[in-house]
Amino acid sequence: MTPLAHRGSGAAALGLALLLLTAGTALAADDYTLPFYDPGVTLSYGVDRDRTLGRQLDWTGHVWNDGVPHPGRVYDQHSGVDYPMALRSEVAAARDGTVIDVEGGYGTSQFGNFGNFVLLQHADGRRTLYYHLAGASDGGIGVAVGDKVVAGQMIGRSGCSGICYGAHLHFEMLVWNPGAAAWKPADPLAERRWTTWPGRVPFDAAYVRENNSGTEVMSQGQTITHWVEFRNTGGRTWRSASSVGRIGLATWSPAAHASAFAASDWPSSWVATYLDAASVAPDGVGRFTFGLRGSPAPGSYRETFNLVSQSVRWFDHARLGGFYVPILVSNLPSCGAATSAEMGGSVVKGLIHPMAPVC
Amino acid sequence: MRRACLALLVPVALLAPACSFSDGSASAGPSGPSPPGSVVAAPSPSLALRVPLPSGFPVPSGAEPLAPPDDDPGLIGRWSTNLPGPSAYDFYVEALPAAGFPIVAVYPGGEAAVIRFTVSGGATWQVVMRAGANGGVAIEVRLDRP
Repeated sequence: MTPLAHRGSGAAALGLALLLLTAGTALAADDYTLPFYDPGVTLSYGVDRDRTLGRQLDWTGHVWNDGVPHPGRVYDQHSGVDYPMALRSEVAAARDGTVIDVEGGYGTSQFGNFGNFVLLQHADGRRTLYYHLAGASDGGIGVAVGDKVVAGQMIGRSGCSGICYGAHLHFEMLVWNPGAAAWKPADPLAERRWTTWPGRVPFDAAYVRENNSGTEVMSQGQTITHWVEFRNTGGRTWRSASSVGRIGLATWSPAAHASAFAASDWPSSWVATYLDAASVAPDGVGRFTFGLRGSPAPGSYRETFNLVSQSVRWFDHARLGGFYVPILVSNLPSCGAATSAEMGGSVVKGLIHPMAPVC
Repeated sequence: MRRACLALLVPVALLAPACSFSDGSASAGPSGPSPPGSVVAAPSPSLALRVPLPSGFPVPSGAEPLAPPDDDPGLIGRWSTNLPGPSAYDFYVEALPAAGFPIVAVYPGGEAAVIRFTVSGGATWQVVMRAGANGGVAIEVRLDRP
């Protein structure tokens, strides 16, 4: 079904019947995350769960009987959740799904009864709608019908197309109502549909610690082990299994550059390592252990790293504290301590490798 | 005699015509004690008690002023305009700080938007924009509220 009704923004155009309210459900690990990347965004208006004109039931359960907009809560007959964001802000899939409809033919800020959107179908039977998007010619639509998307994947850019008072993203969750034989809006906030409460952006991290927060000193040809820990402050569980979305630590500035310090254990010239653990849930701490080889000529260097959800999204490097490792390649030979070669040519994850003293 | 008017939390339609602001001339309501069992007229907010719009407050060119309803004392002014919603919103995002009314927060939306701003003295007010009749936008300026 194409959401022809959604080509008119707002509940009045959609002509929706009474919403089906569901009791609050337990937060699920594979549930929904916020449909954008900036953790600073907060909602303008949530869903009006009371379809009586002039009476509003907001996401907190409060009832308003005045029909006027209530910032941060609701406006009358609203069918989704509005998130303010600048034009052309990146929009993310809230959950794994399939693209079943798109519209990108309207201008980014073209006011009228119809606007640009992406519609996804999810494995739990629900649909999500991302509305008021920028025009396709303006980068507003990043997917095509039939595409499989993963949670957190960028699917388009926000705009102000359709009936839109100020640039924002209208995010709508839909459930099939067999009685009405129609898709009806659900309230993801009232139902606690996010993976965490409150909902979070899909990918975010905070630096915790590392085995050496100072300068790593190594001789030419020597490999040392370095590890760093980050807290998962986003909404998606981190995983290390080989698949789209596995979380890795990779070179940055510029992104994915071939590192001069790549050790033999690196999966590639620019990916230092993947998450040590099989998975790290939101709020958990994940460790990333990797080798650094003193390959360049002696001197002082800095190698910058960022987290990446493979083939999906780089993290916001600034929120990782701009993580980098200062490196000093010494022109003196190493002596005494084991190097990776003496340990059989591999770096043992999780084992703090003694730094080779320069003698 | 000036009559103090207070809003009552009852439907206005059930009451006798509300009293109006009086500067000494006859008011619309009864002047003596009400007979037992009668419904007392619900006095409406005196126009003198409504907060005045500050000098220099921006209003879109061509906007038509509308009379504020009597039962909404928090409403300071309202207008209708043929501007499309995004244009009205963009107007106030620019015009409010330019006129000396710093914006506290913005709440853009589909068929409604609210901009909260401060006035001289530090109080917070709102500009509320909603779809009006005939495809235009209804603009209200009011005291801040949830």
